[in-house]
Amino acid sequence: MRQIKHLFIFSALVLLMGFSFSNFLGIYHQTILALCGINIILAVSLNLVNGFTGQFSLGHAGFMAVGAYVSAALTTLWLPTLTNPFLMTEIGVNLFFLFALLAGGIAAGLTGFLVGVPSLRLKGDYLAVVTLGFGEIIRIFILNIEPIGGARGLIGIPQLSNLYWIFGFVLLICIWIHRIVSSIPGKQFMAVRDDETATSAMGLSTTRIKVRSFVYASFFAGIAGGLFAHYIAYLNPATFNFNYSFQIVAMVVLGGMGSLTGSVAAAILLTGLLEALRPLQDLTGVDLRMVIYALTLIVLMLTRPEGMFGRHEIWEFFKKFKKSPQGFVR
Amino acid sequence: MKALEIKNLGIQFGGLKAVQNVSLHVNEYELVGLIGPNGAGKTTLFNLITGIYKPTTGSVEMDGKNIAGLSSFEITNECFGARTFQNIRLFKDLSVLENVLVSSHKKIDYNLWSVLFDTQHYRNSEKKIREEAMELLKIFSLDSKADEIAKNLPYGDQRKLEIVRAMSTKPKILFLDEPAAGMNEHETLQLLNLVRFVREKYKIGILVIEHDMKFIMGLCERIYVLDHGQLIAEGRPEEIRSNKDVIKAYLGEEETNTAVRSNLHGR
Ligand SMILES: Nc1ncnc2c1ncn2[C@@H]1O[C@H](COP(=O)(O)OP(=O)(O)OP(=O)(O)O)[C@@H](O)[C@H]1O
Ligand SMILES: [Mg+2]
Repeated sequence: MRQIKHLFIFSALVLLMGFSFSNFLGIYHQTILALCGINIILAVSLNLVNGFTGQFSLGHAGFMAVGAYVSAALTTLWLPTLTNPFLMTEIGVNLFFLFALLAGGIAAGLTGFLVGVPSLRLKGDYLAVVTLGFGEIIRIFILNIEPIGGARGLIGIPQLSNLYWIFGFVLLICIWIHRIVSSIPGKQFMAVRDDETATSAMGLSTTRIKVRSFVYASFFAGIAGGLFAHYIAYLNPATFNFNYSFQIVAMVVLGGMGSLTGSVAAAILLTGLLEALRPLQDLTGVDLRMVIYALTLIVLMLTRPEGMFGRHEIWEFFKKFKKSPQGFVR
Repeated sequence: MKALEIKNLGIQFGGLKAVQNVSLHVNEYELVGLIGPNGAGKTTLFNLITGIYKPTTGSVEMDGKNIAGLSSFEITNECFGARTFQNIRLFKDLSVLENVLVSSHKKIDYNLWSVLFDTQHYRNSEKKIREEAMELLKIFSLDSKADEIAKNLPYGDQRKLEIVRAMSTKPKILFLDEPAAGMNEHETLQLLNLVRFVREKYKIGILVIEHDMKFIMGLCERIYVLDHGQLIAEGRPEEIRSNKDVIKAYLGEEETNTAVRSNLHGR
């Protein structure tokens, strides 16, 4: 019963968001919104690893790339060869897209497992180094596979993604990750973050917990990749470079490591900021965007080093506000 | 069966023999003390027993099982040993209740899907596990603070929570590393009663490291003394108090420092 009610509210919300975004906005703003949505998924999922589990991953764009290319290969290369009449229908194509998205997510999750197991077994910041390298390796790997476009990029991807799909997944993934971190297994992620030695003394394999968190995050990044590929309809390996991974980390840190709503806010803010600065670049002719972007980050981190929301969710601030007249400043 | 049996245990860090040839045991339902000057190797011994360090020589048996080849978390699960730490290691940003919940992995009977789809089974199961954890907190009168963040607790309660958290793994032997460190006399007395209570209620063996002689002498039935990584004495509190080697270890070589002697006899 409860699930049916939730499903109903969920569908209504997605339809409302999808409808209003697609009908009251121009193409340009729609694209920015789509990017916001995709970045929200990336930031929220990376927060699972970097914020909640306390491991530092620097290669999230790499997992996104795996999801993007796997799903796009399925819809671009495989789908046209299938002759099943059902796949010619609107519903059939969309179901195939859902399948391709999940396949991309699973491929990214598996890659996460392969990268995570060796690097997460070790204590310390090995993960940062390994994921940094992995992000580059996967990019160069894709660069050299001709059937999916190689360095030229993959063109002709069917434009199956839209704001309904994207914000449906944004909502779903935010809810899912919130449920995960509220459950006891989610508390184990935070236990690892707070003290690994004590966590193993509690009878828990910290490696297993870290790998689990990492695989979930990679899966969601893969989904984001699929949504991205079928929205832009073109993939270029250069998109998934270190710069993109770094931007996602910046969103997580800025929003607050361990705050989902913080990640959402920061993803919107930073994506919006980058786009808003685009005209400036056209005006001056030099790329001032990254300079201003970096300055904004520095100023924000100096004024609030724990990120905008710290480890709190936005609704906790309202609760505290009600309780104490001094507000939430601690 | 003995709760803990250590034979010829040793570990070397580079040239430093931090623990050498140590053999000791703890019976079921026995309260044993481990004392020794700073740097004697007491914590290192705990780290060996709980799998944080791997010994260079010797063996450790807990609950009849040899810990060789087991990692730290397996020792907790399979040999039923739990510990606290000299420097408090709580999950500082989790609530009191959540600190205790972390160890309930054996009770989790739902999978990822039921979490994602928030099923009734998941809800019931989490509710039951949380209620059990609350009961444990109640036993130690921490239930009124269940929702407080661990790092915001007063010092004495943090030490206490660490013991409760260790008990949440349902151990058969408990290792306490300087539980009274930093406590005033009143808190130390409460701790003494707490440790006795744990032993009586759960009928488990306990091995305590402590520098506070009054605490150790008042609490333990048997005491081991470690110095420079080696056991130099074993016996009942009154025997340890008058043992020449022990006094010497605490005094240094030749001095006769009455202050330390009186410390050995309790303040
Ligand atoms: N990982 C390590 N690497 C190198 N040396 C170590 C390591 N751990 C402990 N030691 C050394 O082993 C010796 C014993 O240390 P340990 O912490 O066991 O002493 P302790 O008896 O617990 O002292 P205290 O009463 O001060 O807590 C010390 O000299 C310490 O420096
Ligand atoms: Mg010590």
